[in-house]
Amino acid sequence: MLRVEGLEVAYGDLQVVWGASFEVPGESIVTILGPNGAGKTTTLLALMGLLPVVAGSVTFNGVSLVGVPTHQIVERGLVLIPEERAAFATLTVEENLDLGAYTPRARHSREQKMSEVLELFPRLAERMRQRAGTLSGGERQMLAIGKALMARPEVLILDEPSLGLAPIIVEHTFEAIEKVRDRGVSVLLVEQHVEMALQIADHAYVLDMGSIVADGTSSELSADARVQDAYLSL
Amino acid sequence: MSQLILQSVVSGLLVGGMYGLVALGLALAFGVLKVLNVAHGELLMLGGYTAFFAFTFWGLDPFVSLPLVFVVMFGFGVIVYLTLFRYVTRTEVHTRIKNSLLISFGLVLVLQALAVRFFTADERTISTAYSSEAISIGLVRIPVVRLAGLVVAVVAALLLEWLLNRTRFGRAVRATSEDWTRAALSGVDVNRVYLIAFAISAALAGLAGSMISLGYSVSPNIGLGWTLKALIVVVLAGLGSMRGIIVAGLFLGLTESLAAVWLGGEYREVAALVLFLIVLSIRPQGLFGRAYA
Amino acid sequence: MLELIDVDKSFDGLRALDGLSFTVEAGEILGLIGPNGSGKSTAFNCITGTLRCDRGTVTFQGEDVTRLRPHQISHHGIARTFQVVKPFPELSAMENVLVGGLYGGAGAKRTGEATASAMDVLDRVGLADKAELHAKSFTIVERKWLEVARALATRPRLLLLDEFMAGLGPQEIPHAVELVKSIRDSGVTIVLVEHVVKAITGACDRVVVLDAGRKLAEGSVSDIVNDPEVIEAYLGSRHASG
Repeated sequence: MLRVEGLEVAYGDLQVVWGASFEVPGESIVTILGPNGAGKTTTLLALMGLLPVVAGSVTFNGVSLVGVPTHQIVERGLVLIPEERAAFATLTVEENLDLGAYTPRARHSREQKMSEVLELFPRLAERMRQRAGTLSGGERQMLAIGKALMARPEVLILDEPSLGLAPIIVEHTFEAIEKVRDRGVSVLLVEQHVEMALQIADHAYVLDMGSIVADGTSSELSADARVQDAYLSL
Repeated sequence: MSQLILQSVVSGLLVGGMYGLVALGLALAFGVLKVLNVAHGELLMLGGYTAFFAFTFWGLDPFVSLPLVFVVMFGFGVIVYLTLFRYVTRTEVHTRIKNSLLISFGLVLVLQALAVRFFTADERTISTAYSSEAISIGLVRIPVVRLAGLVVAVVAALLLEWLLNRTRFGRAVRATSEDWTRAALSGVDVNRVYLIAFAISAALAGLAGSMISLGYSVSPNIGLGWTLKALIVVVLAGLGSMRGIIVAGLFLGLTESLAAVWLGGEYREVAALVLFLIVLSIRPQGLFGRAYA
Repeated sequence: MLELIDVDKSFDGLRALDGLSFTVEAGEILGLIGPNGSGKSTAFNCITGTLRCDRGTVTFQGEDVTRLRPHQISHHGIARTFQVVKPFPELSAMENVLVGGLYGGAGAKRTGEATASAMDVLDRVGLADKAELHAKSFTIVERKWLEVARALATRPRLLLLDEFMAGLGPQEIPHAVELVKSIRDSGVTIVLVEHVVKAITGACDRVVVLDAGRKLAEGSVSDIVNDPEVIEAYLGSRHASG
């Protein structure tokens, strides 16, 4: 579904990603792990067209995404929830969710999606008229995911969803991610919370210094001593 | 003496309404695109000339020609954006002000020179049948054309607020203003938002120009003066409320007027700037600005 | 060493702190945990004088410091780090730390003395070899260490670390925990606001749990991890140990 091969990304003169290859098949959860500074967020931004792809290919359902403007990538069904959540503080919960369905393809199923999202996150229904900036961390997380779902993604990308959240909220978030997968949306998850990520992932990659250094199922990686020592310390 | 003060209050509010109207467009461009368009006053000037010539050659009453001026200046705004400001918006947000200042200042010089060339340097005013009419309350005169200008300002602010708060496009505009990257990730075509917001900003400048050529006068070099006032109003009001901009405009006009009466004409500009400093030191986000957490 | 008694703080009608009381013993590493919005950062801000408590007192080493301004608090020996790390980007690491050393509580009067102790601090956090580099070239993790170094340069007796471990990976957390412990061993009492459970269990001697602006529970790490109220409000079932 989403296939990345030999991806190279640079910020001006500084090359950050050196030939990363991975794929996200349909209805699965794939996670990318790795130390800080490895290039994980850079990779995600490049997928979404916010950073230039220097070399390599990114294909989504067989069609290349390189050079496509960000809003069109979203229209095609690839949606990123960035690290610092994706909700707009000055808009209300309802406005945020509505904005999530901004693309023409998403607009058609807006009503249906809205009720699906509110069913998944009932707390949001109680807060529709509240400005997103006044929500708690956990609620903002739910809103970010809900808003992304409004865009009718085929692949949902999450960048460190556990960052700064209380442990119980992290649990709820990962439960929600699994429900999202169960509804037919594939998930690409970048995480530092290695245990939880490996628990729900079907397949995992480890990115270090801009390259993929390991990949396999959760059990394969957990069993690999080298990977354990260097990256996972489980 | 009190009659003089009352008249000053009225004049101050009326010109303040114009300050507010001019500031609306500038606030939109700055708030959404994060660019500072110093040539905003020149767009105002062109709008004023458009209304003037529509009146002179086609006999169109300036209130009737408002939609025409809006459309013409909207189109001009599209051209200015595509040829100039589009390149500025490709840069990082924190460098945009520097870049846009430079570019728009160049635009000021070009537009002023062209205006002198094509329109001559003469001052023009639209004189309709009702131009010299005034409503009199006691000994206080309220010129009808300036009052109508104030009404246009208020209506424009309300319409703009409606657009921003109650339409889907307006929501996209607000999202882009807050964070264009996140807006793009939400599926918003940011470049199109920028284009339309800028064009509306130019169109609003045109409307202001139209009212100014009716109630005051227009000539090639009036631009910078109005831009400066608009800038003060925008900073005074803060970003976040269109209504607040009109109020801040009225506040500025009033302050100038009263300063002129009490302290003397020379203190008009000084008073405005002192007010500016006071407000900024007490409430840096502006009188009506929303301090983003 | 530090005591909060009945502290209240409200913002626009929202009660952020509601009669909050807890103590910090000298020489310990205290964990301050709780759900988002429970008042942890607000508590830090009230201690450091950035915010004024509406009611209640804060005493430090027996002295009432409730109404002191932030720079006075710094001179008394309380330092803190911030969640959003913003070093001075155009200054070198050494210069960033010097700002703390020269203007903070250390009272270093001579640049030579301040430079030497700044170097010492950078060495302790493992940034000695990057002392001359500009802060803007630092990675996220390095910036966090730099932030700690800056705080340490003020020679505090109490160090408040605000979500220091956020975003650290499984390799980085044990290292950070060791560093925090070594700082405590050098004579600095530490209060840690954290969401990363591994950091709490690894570093803390005692834990205070906040919820809705008041103290929900306190005790040793194992007490807290098994406290059903804490599990329900904050930890979730994964972290309970046998």
